[in-house]
Amino acid sequence: MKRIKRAINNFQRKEVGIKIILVTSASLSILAVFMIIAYIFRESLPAIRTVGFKGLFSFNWKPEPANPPAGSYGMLVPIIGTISATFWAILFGAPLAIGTAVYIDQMAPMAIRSVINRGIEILAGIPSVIIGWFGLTMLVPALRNVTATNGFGIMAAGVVLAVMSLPTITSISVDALRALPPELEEASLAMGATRWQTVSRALLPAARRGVLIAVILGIGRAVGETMAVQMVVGNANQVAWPWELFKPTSTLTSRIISDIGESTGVFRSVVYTEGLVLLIFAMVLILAIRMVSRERKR
Amino acid sequence: MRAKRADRIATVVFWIIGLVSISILLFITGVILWNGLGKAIQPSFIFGRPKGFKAGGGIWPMIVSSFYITGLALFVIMPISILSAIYLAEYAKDGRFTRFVKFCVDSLASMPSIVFGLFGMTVFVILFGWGYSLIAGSLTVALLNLPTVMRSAEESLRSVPVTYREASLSLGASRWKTIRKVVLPSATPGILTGTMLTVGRILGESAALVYTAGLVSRHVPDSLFDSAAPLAGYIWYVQTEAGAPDYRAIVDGSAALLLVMVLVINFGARRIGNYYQKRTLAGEKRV
Amino acid sequence: MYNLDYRLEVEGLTLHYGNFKALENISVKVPNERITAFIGPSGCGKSTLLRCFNRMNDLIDDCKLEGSVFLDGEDINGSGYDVTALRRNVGMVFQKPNPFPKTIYDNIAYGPRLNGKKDKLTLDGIVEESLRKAALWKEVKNKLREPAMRLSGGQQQRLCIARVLAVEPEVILMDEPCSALDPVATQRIEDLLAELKKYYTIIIVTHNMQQAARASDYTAFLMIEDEGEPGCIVEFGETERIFTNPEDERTEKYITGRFG
Repeated sequence: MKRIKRAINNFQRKEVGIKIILVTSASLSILAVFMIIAYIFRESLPAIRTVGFKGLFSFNWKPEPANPPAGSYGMLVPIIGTISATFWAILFGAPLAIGTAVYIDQMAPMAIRSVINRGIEILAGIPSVIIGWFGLTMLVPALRNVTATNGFGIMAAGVVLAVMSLPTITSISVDALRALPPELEEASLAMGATRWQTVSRALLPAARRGVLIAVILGIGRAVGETMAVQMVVGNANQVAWPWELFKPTSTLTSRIISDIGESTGVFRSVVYTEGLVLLIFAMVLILAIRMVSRERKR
Repeated sequence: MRAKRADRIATVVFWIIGLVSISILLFITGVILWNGLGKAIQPSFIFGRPKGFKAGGGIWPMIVSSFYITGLALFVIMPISILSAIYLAEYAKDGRFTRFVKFCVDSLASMPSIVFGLFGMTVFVILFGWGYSLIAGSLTVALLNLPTVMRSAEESLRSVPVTYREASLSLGASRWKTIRKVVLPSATPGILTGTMLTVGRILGESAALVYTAGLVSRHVPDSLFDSAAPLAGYIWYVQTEAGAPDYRAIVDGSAALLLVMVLVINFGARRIGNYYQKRTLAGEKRV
Repeated sequence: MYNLDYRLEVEGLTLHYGNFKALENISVKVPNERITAFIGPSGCGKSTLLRCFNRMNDLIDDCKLEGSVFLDGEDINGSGYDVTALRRNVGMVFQKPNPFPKTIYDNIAYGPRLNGKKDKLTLDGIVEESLRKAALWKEVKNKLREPAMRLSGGQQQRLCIARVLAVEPEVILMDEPCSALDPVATQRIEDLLAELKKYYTIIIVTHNMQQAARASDYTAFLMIEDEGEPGCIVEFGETERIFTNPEDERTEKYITGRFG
């Protein structure tokens, strides 16, 4: 027995040590989140101080890279650009994605189902520069021919972002549909409902929270997407509302990636402030998801 | 009979939607491969160096940079994410700390990659004075991909049956021994699949890398602190600058090559997943 | 000094899962080198009680214990008691066969390796001896390197018994070890039990009364008065007496099949 007792202490000491290592690793994520928020915030302070909220939230975007304090930095231009592009991305992408999810879950024959499933996964994995390059070389010229504009703008960005949020929304909607109890579908069909009636009146309403989460995540993807948007949105210093489809404009992300390399002083700080706005968007979306999923639990 | 007609129309509509989705993928991959594959398979292009404003540049340093960054990032991600996942799946009790960790992981996962780029530039490139470098880029994408790997590892660990843990513990194994000898080996295929998908994502990442690792590289990086230009970022850079007369061919070729690499890796990941599934199912059936 | 005839003793054990009281005031002495059966209707807490002997209830977060369980006179829930050493001394066979997704050999060698036995010859010896004791050696000696999952259910359960034996325990707990098996496989396990009791103290939980009557020397009958009430021991004694001449009316009702 004594031998056993001595072994105990070694064992327990080792387990405690391991637990400390594990907790430390898990805490690194906390540290990362706080560091990111803290540094982005710190770097945006000069802009918040010198340009001020009034200046930042205006429509006057006229940076002066050579003499930063002389420029105007109305972030509403890229903010509205982001909102406009995201609006069209979801308007195009969400119905297509949810429809694809219903198709995969309900209608597709087994063989096609796995092909489409795989296809959606592959689409999710295509690098954004490649989709951007596709947009720049195929989509923008096509729009140019059809519309007598230069082709860049909200429309091009919306289509590209729709393609990029399609896999996110589809796969999460499929999960939501799959998670429904099979009795639901059987009950509806057994009462003589057609497939479409079952989908539209029983399945989609029952899965609506999951589908809503899918759309929110799709919005997140669209808001944060950088390279593909930068390549097709035009990066012009003018505001474009959602209805101004073919007006070249900027989004938050396209401004950041275009300006970060060359800006100095307060201009550079404004770039970080744009990052801060993106972070706030992301946090709002997370809270939205939390609210939706908490309601579901009730 | 209106219901029946509506049903028929809906069926046709959903078939069209499904086919549109898949054709988008086929169209994009088709165009990229069609335009670029011819260039992408030329040895002088793959193994050559960029020539700035002159035609005929290659992309070898970028390909190597991409793989260096992927390797280094995984080197950082794997231990941290697996240890964190073990904590969350095996040790953590539902409490304030656990919920807070999960909230932070969720937050990290939802931050746009460009924000990681900004952070990496501020901290690794400027504050630490590393400049555009392999290490700055690798650490930045490591942070970016940490939450996804952590989550997939946690999921794989949770899918290991409780009965394995009970068996091991009842034989007198400590908790840690049980995890190391039974739980981790059973979760390995799942963790590997998640890791492969991450490799694909890192290879395709550009926004977080162009201003941390570097935009263009004349030579293969030879130290951690040497600037590196991963292929995806280089594609963006070349199309932006449009310096070389044959820049279009360079972008087409690079895009096709990158697409092929990402596709191969995604298919590989699937194969591991399927192999795993088949193996466990074969085992289960005979019980 | 503790009583050598009773290696395991339970005194006034009460167990809660959160607010639910699963067991109340259990006291029982488990005779050495005999087979003791715990019988009773499902949900009466017999498996929970079994899991108190090797502290498997530790895995459940909100499980609280009062009272004591003594192994060789020492309180196994006492502070500083080494759980891993306890579990090596008190092995367990589960309801569903649960081999590791490893080879047959590695399954058996798992326990010995934990105890630092690495030498191949030693391990080979332990594996063979354990499989022989579990009456599985003849069937698997030519496929030790094959996955254990390929064995039949009955073979897997005997493999799990061999895996326990390889750690050289003194007590073996069996939680309805035959409930997932067909009659032929069950018979083989019962034959094996008769062999094993010569060397080990065995506690078996079963809802199969014939099995308890056939295989055990002592029987404890547990039951709950009503849904949501805690389980308690109604009667404990030699199996033959419990089944032929029960003292308690409820025991008689149960074994003659009138409720439960």
